[in-house]
Amino acid sequence: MAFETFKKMNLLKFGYDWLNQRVPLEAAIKFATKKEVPVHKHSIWYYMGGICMLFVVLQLVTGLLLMVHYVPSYEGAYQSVMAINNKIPFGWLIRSMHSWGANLFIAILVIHMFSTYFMKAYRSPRELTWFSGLGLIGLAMVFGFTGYLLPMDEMAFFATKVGVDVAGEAPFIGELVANFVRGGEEVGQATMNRFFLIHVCALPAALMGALGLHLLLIQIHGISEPEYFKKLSIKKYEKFFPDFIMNDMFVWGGVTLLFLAIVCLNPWPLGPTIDPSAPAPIGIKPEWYFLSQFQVLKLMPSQFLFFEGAHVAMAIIGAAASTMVLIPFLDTGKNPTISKLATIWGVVFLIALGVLTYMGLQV
Amino acid sequence: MMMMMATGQEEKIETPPTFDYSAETAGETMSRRLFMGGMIGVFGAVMAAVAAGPLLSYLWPPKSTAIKIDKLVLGKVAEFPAGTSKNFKFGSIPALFIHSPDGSMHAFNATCSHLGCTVQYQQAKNNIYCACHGGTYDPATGNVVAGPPPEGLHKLLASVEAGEIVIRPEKAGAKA
Repeated sequence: MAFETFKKMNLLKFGYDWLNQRVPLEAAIKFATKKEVPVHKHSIWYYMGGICMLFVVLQLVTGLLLMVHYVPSYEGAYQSVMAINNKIPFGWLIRSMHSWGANLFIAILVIHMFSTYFMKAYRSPRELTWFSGLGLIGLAMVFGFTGYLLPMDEMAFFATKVGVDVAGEAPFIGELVANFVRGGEEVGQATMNRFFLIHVCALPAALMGALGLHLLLIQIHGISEPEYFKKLSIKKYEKFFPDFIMNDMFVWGGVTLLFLAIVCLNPWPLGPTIDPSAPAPIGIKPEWYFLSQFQVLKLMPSQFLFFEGAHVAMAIIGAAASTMVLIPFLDTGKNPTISKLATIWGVVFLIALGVLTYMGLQV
Repeated sequence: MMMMMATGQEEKIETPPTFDYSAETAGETMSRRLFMGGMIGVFGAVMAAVAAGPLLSYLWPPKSTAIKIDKLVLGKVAEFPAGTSKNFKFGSIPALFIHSPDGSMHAFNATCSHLGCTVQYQQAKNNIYCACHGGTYDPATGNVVAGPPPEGLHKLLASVEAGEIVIRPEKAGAKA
């Protein structure tokens, strides 16, 4: 009977019906077709979230592929990355995609964050969406930091040393935290084990949780609209499914092509192997997304008033970052002056990030 | 209905007595539901605390992984003419030996006091430099000359014994 039915129906319909009887597929499609995306002069920023998703997928896939040949040991890691780069067919491509992808993922996340900031999408009822987004940026940065050590080249070694020592400067618990993260007093095999575990197990699990929450909240609250758009008498919307998703797919295609061009034209380099007794190489600097913090640490004198310079620098970085956490509570949309101040602060924050990053690059 | 017809009497259906759990009836300050909820919470917290101890001690790194030494022969004096330097490991710590242009010899723990990078001797500028955040130290004393380091470099003792450069902690038996 089932076979007769199967013969009468085409395969697609059979599959659809079979699934629909087991999961609420029809309801999901109804929801997707009912969902609307506002169309206005800032609509382009809505695509950033989708591009972030694309990079999450790319990072997971290339990360899994790298693990096939990568050896997570203090002695063997460098050699294995060297082999991935030089011996294994298309290894250089996979590694470059992963390294470039990590950087571009954070760049798109930052653009996505500031576009939602300036569209005031952090306001009620979307505070939790904003926080989960900030959490995702935090996770992406920890991904970058822990992944940076894994090739075990010279830069990786010192970047990890400095990064963990920055944590060690935190008052009271700093040294305990630094020791815990390092797995001892020196960057070594224990550090490698911990960073690898965090990078390939703990962080992907946390990312899935935070991303799931972020996406769920977007479905619950819908896509946010800019203030000016809310006041319009005639508003234009497009269907999420199939219109917006179709555009999204074109954007993904374009971004993927651009990404592959970058990766193929500029394969990610591998520095010299580490020598634990060697000094930090001249011109050493962290990845671009840590450059602004690096520059604040560098600019601060050894003593600032009664405090140690590094502590003041970390307090400044912490205070600036915490404004992003507090903004939904400060700018609720009820006071136009505070709203303007929040926009100005966003611009100042962005300029400061840009200038400090540029200064950090000029080493 | 059938039974009623048979007996000719209206049967009374007895319902079991209901128990009121609310605090008002019992004259208590806390309801049973709240008490049980609280107890489950306390039990959960205790269980989490009990589990956290072994878990943390499992994850905690060993107290010290550092290798401590009292003496290191760096090499023959002839290998280090005036104006040269060498970064090396003194046990677990990164160290720096400098044979200054004036002929004096100095050795330091090469860990920058700012954020732990390993410093180097710059012959052309005759200073000790940290490439991470630009800290600069005096090559004779290890004192901070410029940049963000909060304190100078810790000194080691460099001496010449039988034509060889020997490095020791600053005080005999002291931690390097």
